[in-house]
Amino acid sequence: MTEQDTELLAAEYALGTLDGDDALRAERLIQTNSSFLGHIEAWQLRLAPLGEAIEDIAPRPGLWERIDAGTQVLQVAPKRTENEWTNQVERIRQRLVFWRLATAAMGLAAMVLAGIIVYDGAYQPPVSANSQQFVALLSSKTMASRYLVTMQVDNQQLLITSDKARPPANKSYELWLLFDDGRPAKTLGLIEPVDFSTIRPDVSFTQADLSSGARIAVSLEPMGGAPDGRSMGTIVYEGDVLPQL
Amino acid sequence: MPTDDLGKLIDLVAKRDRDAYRRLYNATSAKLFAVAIRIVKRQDLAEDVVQDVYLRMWHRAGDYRSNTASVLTWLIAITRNRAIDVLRKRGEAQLSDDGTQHEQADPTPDPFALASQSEELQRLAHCMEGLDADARESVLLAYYFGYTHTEIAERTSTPVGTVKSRIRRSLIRIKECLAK
Repeated sequence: MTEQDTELLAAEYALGTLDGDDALRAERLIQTNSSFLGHIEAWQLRLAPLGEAIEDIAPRPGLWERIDAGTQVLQVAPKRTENEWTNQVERIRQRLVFWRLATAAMGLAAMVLAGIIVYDGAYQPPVSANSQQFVALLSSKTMASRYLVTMQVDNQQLLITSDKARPPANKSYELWLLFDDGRPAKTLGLIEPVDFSTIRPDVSFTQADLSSGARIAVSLEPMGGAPDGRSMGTIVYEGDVLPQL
Repeated sequence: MPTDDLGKLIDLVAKRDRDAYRRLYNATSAKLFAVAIRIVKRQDLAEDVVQDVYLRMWHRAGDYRSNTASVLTWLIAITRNRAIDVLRKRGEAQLSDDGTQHEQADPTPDPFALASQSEELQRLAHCMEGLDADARESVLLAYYFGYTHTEIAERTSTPVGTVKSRIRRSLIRIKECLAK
């Protein structure tokens, strides 16, 4: 493939027109060829002015509250110098990027003591009496990175973030819900290689599922996920599901 | 909101200014939501896309580089990319069976007729006006609706190979034109 062919593939990927084998080829190049990713980003920016012509549509009012809640846990002390601030953010990012559900579940004080977050005293975790929200911190025996998963039963939504976890080239990470009563694991879907991802699994999960000793795991799979949707590959990250306090 | 003002806001967001974050959301969320819902076609999924974009912005606002694109262009690019990811991951069949889906009777937006165009759009529109009408239509269908080569071929009753060739030629010409 010539350099021009590579850039054209990146342009088509950015435009979103690829399907079938071409799309798979592009996905592989994203994982193995940093200049390919650069071409994609350049094309995304080249074409983005077209979005100006789309007529605005206001989202529902509750969306801002969801987003705001998602950010509130990270409070970097404002008196730091720019350099200290940058270094601190990088340290936090390398350890874990967190939001409020994790704080509520694990206890803000414990998180601060563990050095996972920096807390300047301004943030008070919100308390919800009937939230049906759960959290799992997924760690690995072989990797330093971690995943944080929060689950909301009422709207069947998962939020997932990680510091630096990314699947190896030509592989996918898949998220699973494991039960301790012998039921087979449920796949919750593939994990996308982005910082923050909202997942709406095809299978439903109930409060009872998450309350009774459930665990969340990330498995290493061929690109595209477990071939039959049931047989789990090697577990790379794993953690207990905890209710929000 | 003027481009310079958005630039100031994102600088403040990079310093964890919550008021600036809220103002930036108020100024841009309707555009980003509109970009997302055109692609994913469902209110709940479009909200997920916008949520992911703003969470990323909160943690990565410092990544913005004013010499590569305006703030709005940067955010539109991130939003559309995320929306395309969601679209491809879930597939048309699953997207269309939800009662809250967005009505897709909207015509293709016309960037050439926009009364107030940014400098970036003016340059791009100028370059796209130089394309053949069929080629321009294919690029716009892809951009605004997230259609693949195959889907554009079906919707325009054109062989897939022809659509691919048109789009590739168009992209090459657009890049050459923008580089002048």
